[in-house]
Amino acid sequence: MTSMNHVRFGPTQSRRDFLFESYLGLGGLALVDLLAEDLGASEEPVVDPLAPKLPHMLRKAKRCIFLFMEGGVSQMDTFEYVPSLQKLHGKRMPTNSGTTGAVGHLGAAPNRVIASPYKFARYGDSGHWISELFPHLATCADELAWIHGIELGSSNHAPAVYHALTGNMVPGSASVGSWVTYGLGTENQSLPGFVVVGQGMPAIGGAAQWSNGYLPAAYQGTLFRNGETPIVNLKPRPDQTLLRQRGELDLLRWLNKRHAGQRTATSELDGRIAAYEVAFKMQTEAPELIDLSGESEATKKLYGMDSDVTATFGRQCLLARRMVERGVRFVKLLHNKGKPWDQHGGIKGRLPRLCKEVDQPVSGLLKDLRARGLLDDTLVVWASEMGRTPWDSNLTQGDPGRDHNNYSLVMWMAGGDVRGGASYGKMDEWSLRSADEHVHIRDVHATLLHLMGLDQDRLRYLHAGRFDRLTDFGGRVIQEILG
Amino acid sequence: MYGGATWELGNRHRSRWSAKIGDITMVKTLTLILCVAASVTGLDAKEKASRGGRSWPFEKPVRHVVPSVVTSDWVRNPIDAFVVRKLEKQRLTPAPSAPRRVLARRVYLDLLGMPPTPAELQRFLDDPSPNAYEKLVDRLLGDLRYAERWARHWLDVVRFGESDGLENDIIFGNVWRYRDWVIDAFANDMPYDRFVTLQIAGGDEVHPTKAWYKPDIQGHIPATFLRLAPWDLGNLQAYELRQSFLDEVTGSTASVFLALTVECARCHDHKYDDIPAKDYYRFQAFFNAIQVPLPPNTSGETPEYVHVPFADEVMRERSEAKIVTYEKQLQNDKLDGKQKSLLHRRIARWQPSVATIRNVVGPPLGPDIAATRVLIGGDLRNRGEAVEPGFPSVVAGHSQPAKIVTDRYGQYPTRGRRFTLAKWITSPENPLTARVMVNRIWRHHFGRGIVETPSDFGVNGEPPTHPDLLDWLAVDFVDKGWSIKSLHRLLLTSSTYRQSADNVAVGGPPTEDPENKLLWSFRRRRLEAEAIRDSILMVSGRLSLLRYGPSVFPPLPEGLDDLRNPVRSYSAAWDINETDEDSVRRSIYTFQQRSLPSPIMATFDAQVFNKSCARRSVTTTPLQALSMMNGRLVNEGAVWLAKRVEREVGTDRRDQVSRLFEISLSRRPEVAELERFSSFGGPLDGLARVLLSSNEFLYVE
Repeated sequence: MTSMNHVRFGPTQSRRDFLFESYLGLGGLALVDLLAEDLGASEEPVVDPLAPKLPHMLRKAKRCIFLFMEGGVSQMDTFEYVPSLQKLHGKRMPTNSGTTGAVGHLGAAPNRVIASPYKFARYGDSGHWISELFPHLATCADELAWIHGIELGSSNHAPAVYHALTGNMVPGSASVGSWVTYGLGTENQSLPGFVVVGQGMPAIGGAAQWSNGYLPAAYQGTLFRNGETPIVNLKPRPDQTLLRQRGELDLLRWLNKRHAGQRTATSELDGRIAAYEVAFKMQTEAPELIDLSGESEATKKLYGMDSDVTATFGRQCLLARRMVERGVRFVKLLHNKGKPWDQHGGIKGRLPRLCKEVDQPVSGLLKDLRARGLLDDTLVVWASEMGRTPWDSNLTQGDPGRDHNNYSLVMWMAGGDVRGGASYGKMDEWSLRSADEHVHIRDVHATLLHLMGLDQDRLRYLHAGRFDRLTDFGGRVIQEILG
Repeated sequence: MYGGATWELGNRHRSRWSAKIGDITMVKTLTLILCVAASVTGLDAKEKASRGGRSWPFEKPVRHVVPSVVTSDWVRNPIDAFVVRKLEKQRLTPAPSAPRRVLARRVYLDLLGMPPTPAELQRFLDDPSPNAYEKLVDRLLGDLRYAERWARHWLDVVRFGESDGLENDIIFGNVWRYRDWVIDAFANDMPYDRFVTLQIAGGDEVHPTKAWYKPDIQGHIPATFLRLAPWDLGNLQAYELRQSFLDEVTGSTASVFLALTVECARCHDHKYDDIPAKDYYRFQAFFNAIQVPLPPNTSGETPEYVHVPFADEVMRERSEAKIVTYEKQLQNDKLDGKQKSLLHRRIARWQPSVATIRNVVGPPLGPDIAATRVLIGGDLRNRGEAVEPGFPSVVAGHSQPAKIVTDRYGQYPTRGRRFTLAKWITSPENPLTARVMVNRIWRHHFGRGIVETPSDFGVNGEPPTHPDLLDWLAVDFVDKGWSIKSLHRLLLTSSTYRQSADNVAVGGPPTEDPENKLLWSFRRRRLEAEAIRDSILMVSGRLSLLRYGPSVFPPLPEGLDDLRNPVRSYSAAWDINETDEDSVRRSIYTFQQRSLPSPIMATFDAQVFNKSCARRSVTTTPLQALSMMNGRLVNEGAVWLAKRVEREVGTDRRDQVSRLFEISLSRRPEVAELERFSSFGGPLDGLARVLLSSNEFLYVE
């Protein structure tokens, strides 16, 4: 690529400040020597693509936590109250419901409607209907703004996942997190700007879910692993000590500076010298980030970390809070693994367990962010790749399931400039399709960018002969859910 | 600047102009676009005038007169004359030639993807003949390591991957044979027109007179090009899946071979280039006879791979021996299910079959090809008029249907469409094909293309910096029988290529040309991920030069073991290597699993590509530094390198330091370096680690 695509460090501050700060964490090792040497260095401007950038417009949200529920969450058992299905329970869908066409494709026919076996009630001042499967989240009802009946381009998992996460149904485009990091850079250079916390490899597309696509690789999501080494290669090898490593890095730096000193136009070389210092610091910052020992028991409990069912996602949510606290720009959490929400069966058996796994952790996250004053500048998004059908998908005997429906995704957002309690999008009486104006995933992306202070039209990248945007040919910012 | 990290594109020409385009969508006249294009590209009046009614690059290239220049003693071949002419206009002088030692390292890294050994370097330095450098270039072009490196460049362009990338990331069967075919093509300097023809039309060739003509079965391997893109087996909507396949192939073929970006025209007339939607579907019609054989699936049916025997005797024997061995091992009753399925996977990988494409059978045994229809707004359900196969009118100058080359009796009515397209693309009359490939090769040698957007020669692409030179090279390329090696030779032996990376006379970047578009020095650049890995393996003495065969699985970093298992029995999996040697083979042989790109590769900008990649990004990140400091590759490499040095020069630290520098940096240490490194305590592998992580090691100059 052109020289503009080289990643460098220290744009908003002088190189010397930058190096000085980098060294503060090193316990004074070789500090004087290095700084003295650096005083002689030229002060040429360097550009770092991960450096914080000004947004296009002033919005409250500075960071985003994106909760992704792979598989297609059944909206009529969770967040969408569809009383009319009670009358139809066990019967065929009425012919005027318009079920022919692209809605669902695995079931042989739209027969045997299943009413939700779960009770719904209205919560908060807004009175949004939430099912009994989310008792904790229901207590945060007035933080959430709902978008109902979102349409995606495909009722197959993979293209729908890519559509929801990259704006394009084929893999190879940049993910939402990459776009946001590309637009805003990141605030903490000692941690990655875009982090993915999962529980193993997702079933669909793996790395393409957080790929930078055609954007420079600096914007790819970094997968955080469970265990002591969240980032690949974070820890020195067992036979290496930090002290010895510091010595080697000093020697490397000396050699690299000598090398650069004999050459012209060296800003990229300088950037690489700085990268080693940041990496050295990251070795201590990242383990500190995942070390939850400093969190109080009450906090852990808030996230449900005291129960087996909620501990895993609770830990992910708590990590997310710690990340945004430290200035990570975009955190994506993947719940469970292997498209767990794909309920072709198990509406009665498995679904309650899945909801339970996330309910308390997510509400804990919202409450904790609120209590710490972080929710004002953190956008939290709940997403999946599609909704499900009112009828049984006939793939299991006994415990009913639901088929795919790419016209009925329900998402919610909270934090930033989101107007808690708002709701947009109205579904038809069967929760099959949007009853009034269509909401497209492009509109959701446009809204998300808008909430992060980014203009969908200005956030673009020239690729394959056209200016690509997250929202493809443009989406509508859903003003109805904004404060 | 273009497509760069500035999130709001900083190029004021571009934004002003795109605003303009937005307003004129409805008034699409070629003239208007031409005017805009000319104002953007900054063509001078003469250049504009010479384009007449058609825009660059749709005019057939001509062999321009080599300009006469003042600095004539610098000119070694016509490239230099074109380059220095532009420099003289800006009153810039080219950089002096790089020292021989530097030049040798450069050309080794450039052609082979690894530095010279001290002995190889010495051989060159000791050669007193005036053409020692030319001889070196020839020697390297004859080295199979050259082909392995340059095949990798091509694999980027053709979005090579070995799994479908979507739900469950299902494995493509044995497409490593395509990779080997590409390596062979580079090694044997297959003429580029043949290289292109086989990839588009392998298995589709017809003979105008011979009845019962059967295309060479080996042609199915290059035709795998058409099958390499991500593929959504989870999509049960057959027509949708087929249409996405056709769309992908249409877009990739146009951008890979013609640098035309036609994808926009799927839904509407191209807003920037003169490609109407109808042309898109006419182009697509060339692929409409393609049948994609059944992939592996849950139903347990055997996937319909095409059986293509090994052309190479050695490979045939290797494959047979392996299969016999693994089948024998399968007889063992004590194996568990996991071990058995591993053996089955290994056997499958060595089978002489490949997932590729074929033509539909057609009459009299089956139905004829369905008509291609314009899909209005790109919507499968909104089918418009039927179209015949035809070439893009912006290139061909007309929109008549193409005359399909068929056999004499029309005996194979579904054959010949792809072949017709390939003939047209590889015709010397095609204005784009040669230019596009010359520019790709140029870009790898010089770090910047004459057209910096190698897969986009359209209005949105970067304008050429040296259009006359590109044309001259394109004509010369075709005249020399489309020989890629001749082209390498020409570029590498120019004075332009031999320049030093620092131009003392120019000093820092001159304001007239801060980006060095005019080539006043050699562009220093970071090695690609593959070259970094191969070089580390090579200098530490571990690199295996075993060639060809199924892809291998270099160890993943610690802590990723749970990602190795296949999601389904037919999914891609990061398997256990067949032999230890496999973990230290060249990076081109690494398994290209779309859902799990090798972390060190991805960190250094080498993804498993889902879309054609004409230029990789070059980034510098702390994660790269972490992988150098703590990763397996560098640390194991350092230990091996240290052992090698101890073996070669004994225990004296100063000798060791000298040898370390010679092996890794192709030079001896300077006095200060020798002092500082020798006085550094600790085991030798610490010093090796420093050198392997150094900028001097990672950059070509």
